[in-house]
Amino acid sequence: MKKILKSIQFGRLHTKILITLIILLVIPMASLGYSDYQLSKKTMLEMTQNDVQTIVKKNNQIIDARLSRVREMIYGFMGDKDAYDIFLTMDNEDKVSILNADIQLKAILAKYFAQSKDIYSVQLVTSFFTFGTASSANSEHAKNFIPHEVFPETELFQAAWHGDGKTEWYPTYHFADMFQLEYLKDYDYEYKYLFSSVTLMNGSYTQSVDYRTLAEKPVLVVNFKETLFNDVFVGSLPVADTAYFVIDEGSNVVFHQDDAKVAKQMDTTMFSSSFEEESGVELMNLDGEEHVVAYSRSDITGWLSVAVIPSQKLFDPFLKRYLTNMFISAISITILFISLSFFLSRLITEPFRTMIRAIVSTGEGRFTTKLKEHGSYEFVVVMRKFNEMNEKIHKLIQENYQSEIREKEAQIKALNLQLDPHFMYNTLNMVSLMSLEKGEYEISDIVVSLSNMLKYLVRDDSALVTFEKDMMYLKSYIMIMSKRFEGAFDIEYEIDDTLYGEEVPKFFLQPLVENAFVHGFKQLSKPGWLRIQCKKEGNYSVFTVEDNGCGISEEKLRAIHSGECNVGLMNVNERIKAYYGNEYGLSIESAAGQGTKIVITLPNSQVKEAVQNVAT
Amino acid sequence: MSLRRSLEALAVLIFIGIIVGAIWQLRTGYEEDATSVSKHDKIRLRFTYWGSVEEKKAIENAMAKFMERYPWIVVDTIQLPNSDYNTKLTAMSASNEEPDLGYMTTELGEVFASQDKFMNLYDFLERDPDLSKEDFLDYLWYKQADDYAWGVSSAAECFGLFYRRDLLAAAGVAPPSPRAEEAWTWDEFVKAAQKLTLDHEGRNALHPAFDKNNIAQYGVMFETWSEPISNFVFSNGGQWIDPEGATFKLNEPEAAEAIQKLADLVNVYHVAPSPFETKSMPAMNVSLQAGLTAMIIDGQWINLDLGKAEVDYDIGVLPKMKQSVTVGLAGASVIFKSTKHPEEAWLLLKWLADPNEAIELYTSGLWMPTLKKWYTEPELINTWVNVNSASHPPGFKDAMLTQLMDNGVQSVGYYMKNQSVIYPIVTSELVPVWLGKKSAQEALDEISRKVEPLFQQSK
Repeated sequence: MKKILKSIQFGRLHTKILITLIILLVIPMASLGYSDYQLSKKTMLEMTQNDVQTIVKKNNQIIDARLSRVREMIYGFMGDKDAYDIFLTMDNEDKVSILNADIQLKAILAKYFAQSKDIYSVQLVTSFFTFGTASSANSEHAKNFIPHEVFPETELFQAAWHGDGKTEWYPTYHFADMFQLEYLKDYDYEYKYLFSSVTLMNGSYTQSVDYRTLAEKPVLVVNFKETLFNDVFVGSLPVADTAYFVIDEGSNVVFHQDDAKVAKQMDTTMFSSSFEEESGVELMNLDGEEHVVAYSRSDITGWLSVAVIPSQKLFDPFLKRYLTNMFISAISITILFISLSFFLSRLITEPFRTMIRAIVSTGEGRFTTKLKEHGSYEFVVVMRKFNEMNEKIHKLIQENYQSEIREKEAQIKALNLQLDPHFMYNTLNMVSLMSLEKGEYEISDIVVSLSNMLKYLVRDDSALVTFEKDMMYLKSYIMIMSKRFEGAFDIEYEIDDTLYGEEVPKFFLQPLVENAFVHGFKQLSKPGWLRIQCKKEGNYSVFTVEDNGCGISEEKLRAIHSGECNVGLMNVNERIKAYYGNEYGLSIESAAGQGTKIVITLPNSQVKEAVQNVAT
Repeated sequence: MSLRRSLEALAVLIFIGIIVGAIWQLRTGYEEDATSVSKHDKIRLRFTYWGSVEEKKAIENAMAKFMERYPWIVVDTIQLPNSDYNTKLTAMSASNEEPDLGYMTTELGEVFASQDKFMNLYDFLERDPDLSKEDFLDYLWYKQADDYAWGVSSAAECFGLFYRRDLLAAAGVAPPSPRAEEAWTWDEFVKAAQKLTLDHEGRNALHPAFDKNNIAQYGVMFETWSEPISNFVFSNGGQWIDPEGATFKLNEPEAAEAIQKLADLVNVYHVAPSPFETKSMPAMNVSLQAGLTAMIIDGQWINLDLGKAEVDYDIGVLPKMKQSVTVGLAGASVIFKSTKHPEEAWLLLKWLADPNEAIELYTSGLWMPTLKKWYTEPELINTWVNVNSASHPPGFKDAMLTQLMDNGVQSVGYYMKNQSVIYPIVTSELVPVWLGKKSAQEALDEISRKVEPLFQQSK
């Protein structure tokens, strides 16, 4: 956590802005979204419950309207005088009379019932014949039949008898079972399942002045296919897994979307408590899942239309749409915010970057770097100050450096003027010639050496020279010094010829030799020697100057190392290290009375090349 | 640096892309709606018809395909029960709510035609680039004048003898031939029917102890409306009316003999149920399926139901009296003069007449085509006869197709006037004949007396 906080703290500005924006966005959006979802869900549920109830109720009303029309037709037929007349005048024993009565009754039935599309068939059943829609008028359009022999034993007849003239509705039944038709049980036919309204023809007719009822009261059977409900119900609730069914008071299924459940008894114990109102809607837990159960009771039949919908299925489309919406808006807002944060952070960091580049440039010594002022006011101020600062620094540097350099130049000029080298050479050459004239060869040698030394001193002002040149100078110096000490010591040279071409720091051996002359051979009683040894040792050029002088005491050695005395030696050391690195330099081996050995190691040309190669 | 810049650009591009995409989608959705409004105005046709559940499915399929082909035409189909069709159509016509086109019964069609309610189909055929009058079977036209056809048969239909193969085999009866030249004589037919009629003890009608009051399986079932009877009237050389339509001839001896023979099946031989008994029985297809009868005399439309129910049946030609015939009949298809869209109505009528467009009406066994070439060109026959052997058993081609082409007789419905008056009289007066209470001759003479005024008018 700390780490994360720290990484945020030291993170890029852009990240910070982005995180801030996202936090600002996500928290309100999530909380708003959640409460909105909950609210919508609740509203949805309430609304859909109402909708479902309304739909069920309306469907029921549509069915009722249709059945009510049929009921009006039944009323109409029950009062038809002609129908009663036909029954009165018909001879029950005479089949011809019956069949002719059938033709007439069919016409009357058609008058009342032909206009209804909902009716499957209409029949008038007596104990001796079934009148009405024939099964055999034309096989192409055949409807159901009713075997009159068994009709009085059926529940249909019971219902009609029980109604005593009132129209009774009998729920969907299996045709073959109802009429005990063994030979039809295994077959499929159009009227396998029917539901019927049955009415006892209990009206009265006039005979002379008396009102009478028929001796044998026929039963009017109006048959419907349970698919009547199908047209109205199916598709009215466009929710998957909706169960729509119609049941009577005894829980017999009049209609069910699942054909297999039609004409059977249904287990309604799970609903029973709630079907007391005429219509209603409830949330019920069925099989562990919440369902919306809407129901409505028919005024005509007393049957219940019930729709059972899993609540979840009601939400599915809503949820899907909601999530899609959320997702799309979240993505577009995120993209918007990311681009916005990019833009904002760039607005802030861009001036910083410019300044960082300027500072780096200044750091590298380009004080002329100038910032183009841009960005917010604060940045403009900072940039202006930076520019001003740069300008001032530049001015200061120019003032200081240039005055110093000019001073030095003036001094050198003066020196040059004072010590004109040509004048010196000429003079020295003249002395040499004069000495030769007088046979003073030693003096001449000394003067020539001095002249050479002077030439070397003045002419070659580069810091690095060939070892050959430097050696020549050294030899001139030794010559002069040995004359001074009148051959009090021997000089031994041991020099590797290949070294002459190597570059060496100017004057690098002279202080060593000078040391031997000035300090080493002072107060020396025995014959002294000085050995100069120059050789290559692997990658090193090793120069050794060794004497058998009085040596250097420990104390003095320390003083030399710390640069308190004999500055010349340490100067050489420092110069070498400056040129070639710490690996090289000068070392002194000496003790009081033991002589002195000073060794200088330098890189030879091979190493230098290699170093240069690496450097480039 | 450049990475950041490109990232930034990408983000902006995506964002713009999303917005543009959304707008574009909205726009294209809108445009799609707009394109469906084609150069044609939307047209609504009302089409009335009768038929069973299966026929309804087939018709609605054909309509759906029609509307797919002609997207600017919407067809409202109105299915009416056959028994109420005349009542309903009369009411619609009276209230000026006639459909644009539809089925028409012969008896109501004749009445409406006399009121000049139908368009002349010959006019359409003359203009039609694809079809001509000669493409149709000759007998199919319903005419009010020689050059004026008020209707064309919706399909070709004819009669045959349908039998349960298993029940005939069980009774040891050789099946009736599907070929006219091998048709059963009436006596052979009666004999077969007797063998096939079984009482509750399993004794057939030839058995001395046969119990005619407790019949479990009839030998044959037939219906007693005009057309089934006509088969035998024509077969026996009889007629309903003379060719000029001036005389009622059903009471002449040939016709009377034929009707008497049919009645004798019920009352003398007890091999068929009377109309009284059939009221307590299911329709003929279900009776055949359930084994209540071994044979039925019925039209080719019953193939649909028998095929669907997978009944083990086949078809023979009808038994002949003097010659083997079958009645060619059909309901009519008509276009009402009141239609506002006659051309579209003709398109639909043509569509239903073309087996290519509504093939299931033919393969299912309900209809036979009205166009000649579907009877003569073997590859066309293949496409409707041979694809569904359940509804087109082996005998179908000979007993129905060939029989109709070779020995088809035009139904009286095509040419007799005043059917709506004559048919009820005939039906009613023949009741005692079917019940054995009256001889056919007596009843027919009575009918002749009753219809006489109609014929005197037309003289």
